[in-house]
Amino acid sequence: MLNRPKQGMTNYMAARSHFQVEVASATDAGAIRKHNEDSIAFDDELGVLVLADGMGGYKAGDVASSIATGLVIDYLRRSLSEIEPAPIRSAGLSLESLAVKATVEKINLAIYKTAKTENKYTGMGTTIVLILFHQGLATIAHVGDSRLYRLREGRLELMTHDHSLLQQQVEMGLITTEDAKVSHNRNLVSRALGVEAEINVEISEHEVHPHDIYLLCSDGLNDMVDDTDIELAVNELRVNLPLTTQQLVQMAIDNGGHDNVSVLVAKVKHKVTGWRALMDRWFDWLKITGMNTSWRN
Amino acid sequence: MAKLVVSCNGIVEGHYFLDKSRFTIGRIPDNDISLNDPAVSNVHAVIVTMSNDHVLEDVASTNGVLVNEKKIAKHILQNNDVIELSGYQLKYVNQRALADMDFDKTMISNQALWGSNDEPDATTLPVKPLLATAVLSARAVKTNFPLGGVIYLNGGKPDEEILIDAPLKTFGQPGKQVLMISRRPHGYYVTHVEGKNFPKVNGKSVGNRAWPLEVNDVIETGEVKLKFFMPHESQEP
Repeated sequence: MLNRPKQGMTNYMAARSHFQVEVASATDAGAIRKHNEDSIAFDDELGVLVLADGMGGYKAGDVASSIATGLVIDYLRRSLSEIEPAPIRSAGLSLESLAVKATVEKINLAIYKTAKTENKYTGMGTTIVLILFHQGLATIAHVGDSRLYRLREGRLELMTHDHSLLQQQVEMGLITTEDAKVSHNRNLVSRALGVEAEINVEISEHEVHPHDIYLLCSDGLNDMVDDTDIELAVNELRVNLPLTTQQLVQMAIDNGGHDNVSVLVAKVKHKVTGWRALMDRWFDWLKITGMNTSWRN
Repeated sequence: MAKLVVSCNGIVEGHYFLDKSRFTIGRIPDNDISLNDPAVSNVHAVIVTMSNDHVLEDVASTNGVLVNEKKIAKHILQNNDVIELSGYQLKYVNQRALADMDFDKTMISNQALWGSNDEPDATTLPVKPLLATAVLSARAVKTNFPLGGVIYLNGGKPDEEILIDAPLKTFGQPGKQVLMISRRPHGYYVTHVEGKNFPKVNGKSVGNRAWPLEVNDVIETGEVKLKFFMPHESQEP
């Protein structure tokens, strides 16, 4: 009866970022589907988190999404090692963002070729959403209707725009956002990896603040759970990141769980080095032993 | 395939399949459905097909269009919707268009309004509308969840009934001891959020898992002590 979401570990990422990032994840096939075609991955060293929602025939969607998340880590590890972290930014996108863009384009081609050469993979594709932390910035890239939200000062903001028929209809004023909730087109994406040889990757760069929380999710979350309830869960449970992801997945299942649901969450913290780390450990110890450390906040 | 069943005064006058991308309803004979009644405008309403949706639109008619007795300007048709134009009823029948979620898997749209490579770049567009996609049926489900709440026995305002109608609420002292009470389809659960001690229910530690609550259970975390109640269930004396 209880559909227990798989729970990810909490990890700390440092890498090229000025910040430390704590990560947790959860994924579940949902209440109705047998297969989970979502795929998630992250890499502490690189400071990258990625989520993909696969589509296509029997198990092919699964293949497409795992190729995508696997290759992101592989390709970025190679291309980022050739980039010196540069404190000064030139106009336009940073070298890291350009590397992300090139990576997603390469992955698109890889999936496209696999789909073309193997019969059982014909027509497979996948969405992708990823975030890379570097210096004081985050690069966000996406294709399809997987989303990235940011919680800053208690407010949840959507940082990506779905590449979907529904989004296009709303943008053109053909239907209202209220209409969108009763549309039967929610499953139609307008862009996906692996469908054509070329892909237009949407990419953006943002300044990162300490205490920001970044949430990557498949549409199985935002189709089942209102943004206000996502905001509530992340706000209330942010001290316990694994519980946050578990709760979000559970809410999607409780509301019907029509689709696979995956969430990947990153919490930004000050990078602690040297004496600061020691102090923090000492204060944690005080907290554990029950001493009042509230004066420190 | 989707169809309209046209009737007048309870007598069925015809079945029409929505087999065109733009389907018109009006008084003059060029319409796909022609309704010969002076109260019907020349072209009264259109139904536009957008992939899985049939979108009904009032074309500036004189007497308006009702769907399920409500006036509409534009409406995405749902299975069994009844459209009214003057004295006519048009019932929309489409098993695929349930108000509930469709179970179709994610697919590439072949009717996208612009292709993936000529889509305007986000940076060149001033503001894109944000899209809330949570289905209405998901909200409807939520309102069927049982309703309960807690009363502070210690560590809060006594005797005040706090209803928990959101999916979750946290209690305790942030940074020290916090628990979550979550509202789920079959009832409420207590879960540990932070602190060195797990929450207690009726004096027993619940450990690191979700614990189902029963009426009159006493919940503790740190200094905070709560009693669980459900307004519609009889309380023990």
